[in-house]
Order: sequence, then structure tokens, then C-alpha cells
Amino acid sequence: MRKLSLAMKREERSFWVFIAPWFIGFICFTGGPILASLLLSFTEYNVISSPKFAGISNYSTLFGDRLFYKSLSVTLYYSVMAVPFTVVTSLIIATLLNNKIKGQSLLRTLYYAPSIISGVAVSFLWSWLLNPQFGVVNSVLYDWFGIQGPGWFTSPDTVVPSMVLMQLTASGSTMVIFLAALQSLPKDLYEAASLEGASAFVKFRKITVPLISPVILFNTIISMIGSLQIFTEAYVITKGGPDWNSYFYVYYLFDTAFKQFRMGYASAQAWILFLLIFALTLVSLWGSKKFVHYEYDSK
Amino acid sequence: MKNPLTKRMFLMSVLLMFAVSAVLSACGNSANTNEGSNGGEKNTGGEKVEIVWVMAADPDKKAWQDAVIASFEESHPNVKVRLENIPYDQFDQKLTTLISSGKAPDVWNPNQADSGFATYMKMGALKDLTPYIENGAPELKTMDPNLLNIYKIDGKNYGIPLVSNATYLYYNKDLFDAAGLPYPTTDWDDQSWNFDAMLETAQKLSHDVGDARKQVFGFSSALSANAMTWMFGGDLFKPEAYTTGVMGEPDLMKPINIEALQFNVDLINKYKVAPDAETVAASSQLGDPFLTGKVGMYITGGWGLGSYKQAEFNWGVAAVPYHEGRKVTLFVDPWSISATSKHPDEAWEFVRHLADPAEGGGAYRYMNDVGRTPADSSLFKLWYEKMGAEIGMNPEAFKQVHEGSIKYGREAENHLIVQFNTILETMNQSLYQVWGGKRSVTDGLNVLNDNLLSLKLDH
Repeated sequence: MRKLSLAMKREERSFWVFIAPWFIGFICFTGGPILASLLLSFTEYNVISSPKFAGISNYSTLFGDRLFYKSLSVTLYYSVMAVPFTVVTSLIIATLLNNKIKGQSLLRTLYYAPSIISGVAVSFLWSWLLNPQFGVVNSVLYDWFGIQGPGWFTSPDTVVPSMVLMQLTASGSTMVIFLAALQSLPKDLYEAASLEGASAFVKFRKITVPLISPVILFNTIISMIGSLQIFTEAYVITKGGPDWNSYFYVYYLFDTAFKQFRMGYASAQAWILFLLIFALTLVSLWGSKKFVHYEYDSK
Repeated sequence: MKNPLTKRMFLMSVLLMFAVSAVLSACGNSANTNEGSNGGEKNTGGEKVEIVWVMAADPDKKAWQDAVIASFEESHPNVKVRLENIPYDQFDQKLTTLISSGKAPDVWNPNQADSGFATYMKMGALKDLTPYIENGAPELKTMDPNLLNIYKIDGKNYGIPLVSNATYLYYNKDLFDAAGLPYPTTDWDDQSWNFDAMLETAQKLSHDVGDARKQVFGFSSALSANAMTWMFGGDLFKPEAYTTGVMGEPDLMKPINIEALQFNVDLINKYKVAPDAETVAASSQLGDPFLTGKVGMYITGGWGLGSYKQAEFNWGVAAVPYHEGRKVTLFVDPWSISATSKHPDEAWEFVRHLADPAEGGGAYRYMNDVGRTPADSSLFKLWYEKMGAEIGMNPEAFKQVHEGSIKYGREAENHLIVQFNTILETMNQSLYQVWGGKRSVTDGLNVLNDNLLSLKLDH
């Protein structure tokens, strides 16, 4: 017994030594700041002078703040459109890329490529493509079809849908995860279905979707979390406008923190967002129990 | 049971010590390098100190910056100036980070950020320069006291003016010639050049509005809604907002404010002589709307004198149309020193050098090399001649335009009201639908009022 416990102790020591780089990094760069922001959310802090304790006043101000509700509703509107759009388009692209055709790996690379480019660069690209006066898209619409294109990012009604469209170049990783799931599917089920005379669509709906449903759930949750934190697009292209219609939650948070220097208030905003994401994730996990099939994975 | 627990505690504390010592050694390193550079310069007498000068990046200023640093380091061998250029739209964020981490730059211009002087002043980031000025600063003798007073708060000076941009009406001479129209007047007191006359001229200049490829607009401006009301003698805020720095209750619903904004809405939607908000947003991606050559008259600040040099057409400057109570915006920018500067004396020496109007001094070169409106009165004559030659205007006529603007000018809101960047953002967003004609001016102002009060800026 003593020997075993000595070995265990040694193992425990090795564990701590090996985990140390991550552990120190987490404490210094993630855990510490998270804790600090929780504490700061109960203070007034303008960065220069030291924080003053303010109780829950940041939170109570927040719930009376018109912009808080506006930014929340704009963000939820974006999320409701962007999540299905991302999941459906990347599933479709992944299914197509799963076909055995010539140039398959080249196509896969091409479709993933935009994901490795910085969001700022991609945002600039889109803002030029969709520029209502000089952009390629509206020029093509006008020259070829005689249609006066929409205002895209410059019109209050189309700004959020335009940003949803931008997800086309940002969903590479979602697509790759789908692709990996599709490749691990068992061939025998499809063969059996073919013998029964099932069409490609039926096979997709009755076999593929149920089998990859855990992956669909995973991608939905990940893209939901990402969509609630949307920032770069608004910061680079629209500055939150026009008429607050792309004034997303994190953009507002950034504004209070780094333009208004109200770190306490911004921390409170961050924690509300954290709780919201946490709750929505739990709801998705719980609500999806009926639709997600795990039998294949845990066979 | 106790033994492994204490072991774990021991391991944890060792790890903690690792973390702490890593941080400490990082600090130690930078201290060491400083010491190293000090050691090498012992022979010049005192210790060599480094001061940091921060500016918003602007390629036009690069040559001037290098020259100013070189001449200063020559006359002050014990001081080294390190220049940091920060992109304009990251200025606030970067400055906050620097200040909060105790690395505030020594010398900088707080108005180069969106938030502006009042915000940083209220934050306590700026040093009181009064003792230095009282100790004698011959460079400031020829400075207009009114300019110095802009940055005097409660009897204390927090900034030394470096530039005094005014507001002008820029006009595209080629478009005027093509339409066979006389150029607008340079006389600000000519009451026949009023907004009705301007509208008439704009109507003659405009054509093909709506066709993105051919359209020419008679008029446009870079004015905030507040500056629009100023031009009609109105104001969206109460007078005390500008003196106390606190926005307080806005004063939006004055009839003259509504008249001023309605006039600008009509220019877009009724008379169709000005671009709508979507067109402005779309074309701003290409840069300054006036530079596209598709705008006949454009009201903006004095920086246009420098940036429109690259225009592919001829242009001039004229008086902003007359209206009773008309006020236009002046943009006087100061040099300030951080309250936490470790070398305030050296920083002050550098500010003096920057403000020096004598030939070869910082202010002289800023006027001469960069072409910006000087703050020091002794430089104006030279500047009028230089600008007149560059624009192709009689220096006397140019002088008349500039002096008129100063006469009818008042200091920019974002230099005086705390967090004006947030107020401006709220203004632009809330009134967007007004410019589009989808919301009446009164409704727009009501929305703006609610939004401004909801900001709770008086924290």
C-alpha cells in the first residue's frame, strides 16, 4: 500500500508539473480577469482612479438602460437568423464536399480558406462587395438584371441580414466538423436503404440527420455562442448603425468600456451576457434531448 | 490524510511563486535595460531620460515629427524623445490602456481621440501646466490669450494650443465654372449670402441625383446635428454644458433647432441637392465626399486645406452662409502632459519646443511643413501667404475667410463636454431616420432626448 501511494504521489506531482503551463496561463490570463471583472461589476471604475464600491447599482442602471434592451434585441435578432443559416449552409456544403468527385480536397481547402483570414479583413471585403454604390454585387444586379440593389449595410432594414450573409465566409470550422461527422457514418445503413429503393433525400433525412444529430446540436450551440458575441462586423463596417440596428451587445459593451471608460458597467454587461449564454446553452441541451440520438456514438 | 493535503498546498504555493517570480522578472528586465542605457550616457552630465510622445498616425506629419524630434534632441542632449503613432480610431482604447497600466505617454494631444480633452481632463489624466507657464515660457508670448483660455479650467492650464482649425465652406471651382456660377463670397458679413442663396446655388449645381454614376450634389457637409443648429444660431445643449463639461438636460426642442435641422433634411429629400445618409455612408468608404469631385459646396473644418491638396480639381474656400446668430466650429487642439508623467520637466521643455513659433521651431514647422492652421498669432501672416499661393487665392481673400470664421467661431463641443464622442454617436444614430425622411425632425429629437437621458453620463 505504501509503495502504491508513493507512486500515486509521484504521479500527482508529475500531473501538476505538466499541467502547470496551462494552469498558470489560465490563472493569469483568463481566470484572474474573469474574477476581477466579477468584482469590478460591483464598482465604479474609470481606469485612472481606483475602483469605488457601488453595490448593485451597475446592474440596476443596466435594467433601466434603453440601449441595453436595444442592443440585446438586435443581437438576438441576429442570432435567430445567423444560427440556422450557418448550420444549414455549412451542412449543405459539407454534404456536397463529402461526394467523391475530382478535385475534392482542393474544394474543401477553398471552402475552409476564408476561416483562416482575420475577421477584420473579411469584414472589409464584404463592405466593399456590398457597397450600395460602388460594390460588385449591386453593380451586377443593376447591369445584368436592371435591379436597383438594396442598401445592404447602409440601410436600417438590411444591415442585420447582410451580416448574416457574411457568415458564408465564416463558417469553415462548422463545415469541417460536419464533414468529419459525415465521413464516420457507417456505409451499411446507406446500402440497405439503397436496396429498399430510398432516394438520396430520404437517406439524408432518415439516416444522415439522425446519426449526426449530436454534431448538429454541438454546432448549433457553438454558433449560437459565437453569434451572441458578434462584434468585429459591426466595429469595422457599421459602427453600430444605422439607427442602432447593428448596435450589438458586445459592441455596446466595448463602447462603455473603452470609449466611455465605465469598466464597472461594462463588467456588469459582460456578466449578464455570460448568464444569458449559459442559460441558453442549458436550455438547448435540455430541450434537444428528444431530437438528438446518441445510440450510434455510444454503441 | 493531512500529509498529501499539505503536500498539495506546498505544490500550489510553489506554482504561485513561479507565477509571481515570472511577473517580477519581467518587470526587472525592463528596469535593467533602462539602467543600461542610462549608464552609457553618464558623460553628458545628467542622466539621459526618455519621454514618450504620442500622436494619431498621419503620414502627412511624419517629416515634421522627425524634424522636431531631431532639433529638440540636438538642443537637449540629455533627453530622448520616443514617438509613437497610433491609428486614429484606436487612439482612445490605446490611451486608456496605457494610462491604466501606468505607462501614460508624456506628451500628447487629447483631442486626437474621439472622446477629447474634456473627457481626459475630467478623468484626471492631464497635468496642471500653470506653474510651468508662470515660470516663464517666451514661446507663448505671441499666443492669443483667448486660445490659451480654452484649456484653462478653474484657473488652471491643462493644454498649450498647437493648431486652431476653423470651419469654411469649400467649393469646387470646376463645378462652379461648368455651371457658369460666380464663386461664393469671402465676406462673412455679406448678408445676401444666406442659406436661401446657398440653396439656389446648390440647385443650379446639382444634376442627375439618384444615378450613382453621374450625380452631382450642390451641397454636403460633415457637420454634426449640433453644429447645424449652431449655424442657425441654435444649440442642442444648454450654455452651462460647455462651461461645466457636463451635458446635463439637453435643450433640443427650441424652434430654431428644428428649423435648422429641417433645412438640412429638405436639402436631401425636398430639394435633392444633398446626398442622403445611405449615399454618404457608401461614399465615405472612398474617403472624403468633397474629394470625389461630385459635391459643389462642402462645409467642414480647416484640415481640408491640407487634405484637399490632392484633389484633381480646383477648389477654394468661402464664407459659411449668413444667418442671425450664426456660429461655426473652431477646433483648437492642445499639447498636454500626463498627470502621471515621470519626467514632467523634460516633457514641458518638449512642449515649449513644439509650441515655438520661431523659424525652425515646432509650431513654425507645423504651419510651414504640414500646412495646418497655426495657433500662434505671429505665424498667421506667413500662413495666409502660403495658403493663398497653394489654393490659388489672393492671400487677402483667404485671410478674410479665416478671420470671419474665427469671428463667428466657437470651440468644438467634443473639446468641452465630457464624453462627447458618446453623445455624438447617440446623435448620429438617433437622427439617421430623420435624414432619410422616415421620421419627422420633432419625432427624431424626441427619440434623441430619451436616448441622451438614458446614457446617464453624469456618473
